[in-house]
Amino acid sequence: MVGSVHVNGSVNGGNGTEERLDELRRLLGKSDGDLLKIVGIGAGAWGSVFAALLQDAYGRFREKVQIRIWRRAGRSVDRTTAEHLFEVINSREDVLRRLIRRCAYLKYVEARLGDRTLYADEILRDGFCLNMIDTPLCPLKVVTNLQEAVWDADIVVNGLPSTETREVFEEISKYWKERISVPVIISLAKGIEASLDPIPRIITPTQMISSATGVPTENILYLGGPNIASEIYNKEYANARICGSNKWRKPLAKFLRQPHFIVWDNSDLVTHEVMGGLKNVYAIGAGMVAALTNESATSKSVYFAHCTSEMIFITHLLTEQPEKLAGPLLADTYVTLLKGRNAWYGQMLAKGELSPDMGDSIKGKGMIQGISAVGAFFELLSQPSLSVQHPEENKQVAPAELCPILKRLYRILIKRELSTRDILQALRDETMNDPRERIEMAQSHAFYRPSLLGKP
Amino acid sequence: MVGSYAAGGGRGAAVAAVAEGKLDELRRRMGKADGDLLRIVGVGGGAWGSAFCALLQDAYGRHRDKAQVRVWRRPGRAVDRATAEHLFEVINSREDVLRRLIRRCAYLKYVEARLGDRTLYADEILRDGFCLNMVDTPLCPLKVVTNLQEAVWDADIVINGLPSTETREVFGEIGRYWKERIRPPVIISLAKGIEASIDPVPRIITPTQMISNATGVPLENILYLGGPNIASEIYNKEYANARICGADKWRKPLAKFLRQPHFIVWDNSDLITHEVMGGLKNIYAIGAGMVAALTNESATSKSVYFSLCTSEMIYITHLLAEDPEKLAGPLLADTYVTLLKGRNAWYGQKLAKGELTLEMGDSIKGKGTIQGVSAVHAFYELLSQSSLSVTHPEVKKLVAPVELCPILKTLYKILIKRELATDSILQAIRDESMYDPRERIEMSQRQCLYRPSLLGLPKVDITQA
Repeated sequence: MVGSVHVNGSVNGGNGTEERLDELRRLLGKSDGDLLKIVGIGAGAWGSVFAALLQDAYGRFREKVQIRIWRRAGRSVDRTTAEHLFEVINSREDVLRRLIRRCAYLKYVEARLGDRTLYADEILRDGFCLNMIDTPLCPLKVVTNLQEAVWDADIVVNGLPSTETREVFEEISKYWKERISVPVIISLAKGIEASLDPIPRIITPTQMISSATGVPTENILYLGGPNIASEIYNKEYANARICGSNKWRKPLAKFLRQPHFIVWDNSDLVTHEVMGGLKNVYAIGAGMVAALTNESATSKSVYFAHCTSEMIFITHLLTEQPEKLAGPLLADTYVTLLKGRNAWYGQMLAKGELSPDMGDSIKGKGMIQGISAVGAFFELLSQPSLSVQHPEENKQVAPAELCPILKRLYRILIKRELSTRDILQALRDETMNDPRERIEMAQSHAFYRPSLLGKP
Repeated sequence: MVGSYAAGGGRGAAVAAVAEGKLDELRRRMGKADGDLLRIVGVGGGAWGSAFCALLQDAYGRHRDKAQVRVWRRPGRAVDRATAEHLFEVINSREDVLRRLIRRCAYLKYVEARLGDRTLYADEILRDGFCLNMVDTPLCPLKVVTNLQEAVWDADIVINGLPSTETREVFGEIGRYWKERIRPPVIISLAKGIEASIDPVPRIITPTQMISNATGVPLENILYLGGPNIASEIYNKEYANARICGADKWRKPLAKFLRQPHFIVWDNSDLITHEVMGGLKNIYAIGAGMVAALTNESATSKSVYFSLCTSEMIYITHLLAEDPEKLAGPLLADTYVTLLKGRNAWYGQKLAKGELTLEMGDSIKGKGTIQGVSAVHAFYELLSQSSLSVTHPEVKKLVAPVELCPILKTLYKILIKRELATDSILQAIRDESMYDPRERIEMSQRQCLYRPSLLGLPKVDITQA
């Protein structure tokens, strides 16, 4: 290929990678000399890793693509974290060499000694995410001015927690009012909101983005999957799934795919985005069970049977023909319950090392999305207007009555009238229905409530 | 309750009364008159079989005029010196166990064995509640019988705790003792392995089928109990669910009888799916252990493996059952725990770390039989038969079903053919050309994959079912 720039790596790898970049540029109508501009919004662990993966894969083609990440300015790094960061740097020869070469090392020495305050955006330029200090990333272009970051972006990657998505994208829409071309937006956010007025419904991050910016849903996609950011960046083999319209999901799946990061595509945006939020609810409970039973596999399996049956039941309320909870969605659920910050949070609560009063944003971990999701799902499913037939008592009940684990989590985390130990009581209640009954009920009856996702 | 043997405080008395009520109900159903004991026998002294009988002994053993719980195991299995030393440590670290042995004048033989002055035998220690495969978890004392005829000839309920690889042989012998029985017993099988027969047509043979063939007991009286099976956790009252599968007549009364506060038993009519899945998941548990060891417990890699192996399991289940239970909920929980912990996953880890080798065979001291190994062989051979061909989703030609199960194929080459190393399992899950697991699931649900002959059933039986 004439004119190809190979910084390193095999010719074959270079050709394949550049070809994928060229293909996406063509689809987006980028002419020669016009950079493909990709911006990550929000610098949590996964958002940072995602941007770093793209930088590692495509960053060398500097005349074709530019990858940036926006985060707010002003977040300082405390002394303890600075000391730990210094240890991480000094334990990694490659990182140490890189910082020395870029004349960026001494500020970490000063911070270690307490003589200087570092800021999150500053260290992120060197590849350190405040929520993931132990896993250094490649250097990144960090922008702290939102308008400068997004005004001409072609692809925007939403790495914000869902609780900040609406606010930030409303601001972004002011900068986009006069745009000619419509950007493509990929959302990584897993939380959801519930709205009860005028009718009960769920609001997903992609819906928030569409409402806030006016970008058509066709151009907004959700990327879900097991999301242990540090493992993915360290090239543990991972699968993800990009969900959305036909127009963009296949080309983006191809663009995002790497040898250790397989991206499949799916048209079922709703199920995957909502399930992404729903499984975080049950991940907190899984962490509690693991801690309270000293990692008992037997108790974990009982919990798993019940929580998956509740998830299936809820999914049937939300989607007319939901993807079966088997295969890929199952893998997401499996890893979310096994590891990840929501499960970690549940463990810490059960051990008494954290308490609900500390809120849902934890230093060093980021946002625990499961907490707000518990509130959202429970309030939504408690509405009498959504009543379903009780399988045994021959009366109408709100769907939440058939989800004992969700109810219990609500009372532990939101109402705070129960202790974490009560999650075990939910499992050990002999009167609890066989989880198979809940699944059969979900699959045999027409539970679907289109209004829950704002559909007529 | 008049005549109750309840001992201990009010709480204990209440529990005993509930248990006695359940026992009386089952006795009535089995036509036991006063003075005629309900005889329950566990066959095989493995971890789960022993723990299961111990649960029954703990629950019903006090009603000595109504029920008798026994365990049969073969005599002659010696306890080696290292195990005897470890057993001595376990005994001395548990005050309740130590007191019990002293009280029963059964302690000194363990001192002698510890010193190497005496050889203990597995049946001997099992009488004191020590299962050779589960030495760290002392059970209650058990009545152990080493003569098979004496154990089973008049049994009302038989619990099959044997590995599937021994089920046919032992029940073949039992069949001889039962030739003149008037009333057929009820049999509950815990065995999870399966066999494949390819002559005259390819089909799976399950332990319950082996038992029925060997003894002539009608299938109506044979049930399968499946579920997450970490025997020591269940005996230690970790909360657990299990599922008893079989004909209407017995499964509900037995579910009720077996249920305890920490051991919930649900019932299900789908014997086939649960029994076969019980064997199938052990295959993938070995692979899960390998992946866990090779990736240093990477949750991300585990999830990729989980996604792929569950899609293969779903596919295989659709070949075997006409309307299989969805792999969600309870069956999923079984799969989850089997992949997470348990001896098959443990075995996969040990192989991957090089701490065990295939040459050591599939019966491991202190662990018992690793059923997944023979199951790999059975399923692979069965699904390789060209007479079972299915349409390949992309190449549009007929292929044997195993061609669509890359993990099963890889495990076969690692464990049976032994032509691949354990890290090949990572290559299997990292193959970029591998199908989206969702496609395999959709194919199994869209095509009519069902092959009744695989479970030895002619078409007409399905119509009757």
